[in-house]
Amino acid sequence: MKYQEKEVEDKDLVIAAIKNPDEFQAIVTRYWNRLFCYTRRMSYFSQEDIEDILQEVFIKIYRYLNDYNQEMTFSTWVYQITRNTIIDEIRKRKVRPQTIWLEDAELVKVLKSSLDLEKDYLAAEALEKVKSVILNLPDNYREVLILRFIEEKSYEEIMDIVQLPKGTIASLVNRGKKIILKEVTSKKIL
Amino acid sequence: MEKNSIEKIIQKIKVEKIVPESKWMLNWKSYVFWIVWIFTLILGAIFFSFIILNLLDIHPAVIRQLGLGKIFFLFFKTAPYLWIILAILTIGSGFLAIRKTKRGYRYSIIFITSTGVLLISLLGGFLHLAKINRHLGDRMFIPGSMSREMAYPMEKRWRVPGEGRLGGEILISNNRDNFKLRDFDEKVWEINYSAQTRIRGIKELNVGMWVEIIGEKSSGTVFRADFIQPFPFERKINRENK
Repeated sequence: MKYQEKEVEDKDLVIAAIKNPDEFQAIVTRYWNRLFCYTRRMSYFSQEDIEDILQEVFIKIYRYLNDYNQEMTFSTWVYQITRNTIIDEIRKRKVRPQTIWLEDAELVKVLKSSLDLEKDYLAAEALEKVKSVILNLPDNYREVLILRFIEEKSYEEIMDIVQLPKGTIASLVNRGKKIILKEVTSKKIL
Repeated sequence: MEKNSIEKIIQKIKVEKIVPESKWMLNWKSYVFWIVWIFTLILGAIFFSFIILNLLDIHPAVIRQLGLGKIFFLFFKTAPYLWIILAILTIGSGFLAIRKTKRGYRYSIIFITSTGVLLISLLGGFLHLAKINRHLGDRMFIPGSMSREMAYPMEKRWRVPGEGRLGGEILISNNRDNFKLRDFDEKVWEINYSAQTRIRGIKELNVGMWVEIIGEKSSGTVFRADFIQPFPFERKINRENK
């Protein structure tokens, strides 16, 4: 119920922002932190770079406001634009991420989704190894795993964010989990 | 820092006078791809209607007359490959066009392909029933030309008197035991038939009628008919173009 109420508010904010740019501030404030964390998880950019990217993202969101409809939640639509902007930026720089910005708890979250792990904490050494496993995953697998287990998006939402059919998303998640399981087992991380 | 960044965004919108763009401007590409998809459907339907046309004269009675083995060989020799390939290409292009639309990623390959096949079949069936394929074909493909042979491989089935299959237009008929027929290559034949000849779908063999005959070449331009059926459509050959 709360979720639905929030969506109604989002829609109201969109209508208000179309009429008056000052009202757009409410949307930026609401989504800034979430998108900041998401961009950091998806890329290797510095804080300044992420702020620049987010500025571009929000300008795009404002430009495209008329295109938002209720086929998907506003949040999903915002993530879709952010994701596309991040990919454009990564392509521009032509460099693959050398590190990954995931908190320890987030790493454990991804790991728990792939294994029957009961622990909530791992030793620093194990965490480093897990980080390297996730970093070395192919980009498409890493992306959907982050969206599914850290951003906690549903398959339908991920489908709209990464713009791939639902079946492809399900298979990426499953295969990604299997790769992690295989790597963790073969490297005897746990 | 965050507050500054947020304010900077609002300032930029105001200073650069950025405004939300119209839906049409944001979606024109998607609309173009939807139009392309509709275009591929129409093209596919036309091609499919030509497939129907080319397969129509393999009637069950012809299968009984020739036998399954011969029909199988005949089909592979004279199947409308051109139209089949083109129809497959339109389904493929339609799939790519849908995928390029804004929400195209939401549809699975199976859904897009089966929808394309279904719509092309329905529309193609309609074009055939409305005889649009026949008029279109006769206008586009001049008899005797290479393009005609590619478009209507079915005609090859009835141009081999030596193999016992002959087709053409009835020139003179006494409606008793023989008639004169002009074949696709303008050669005139004398066709003999008897009470044993199976005549399907024809009450009277009238002048101007297009028929397909299974039988045996007796000599020169004399042909004995064992089976006669109408050509699946009334051919209008523009002889001036030949």
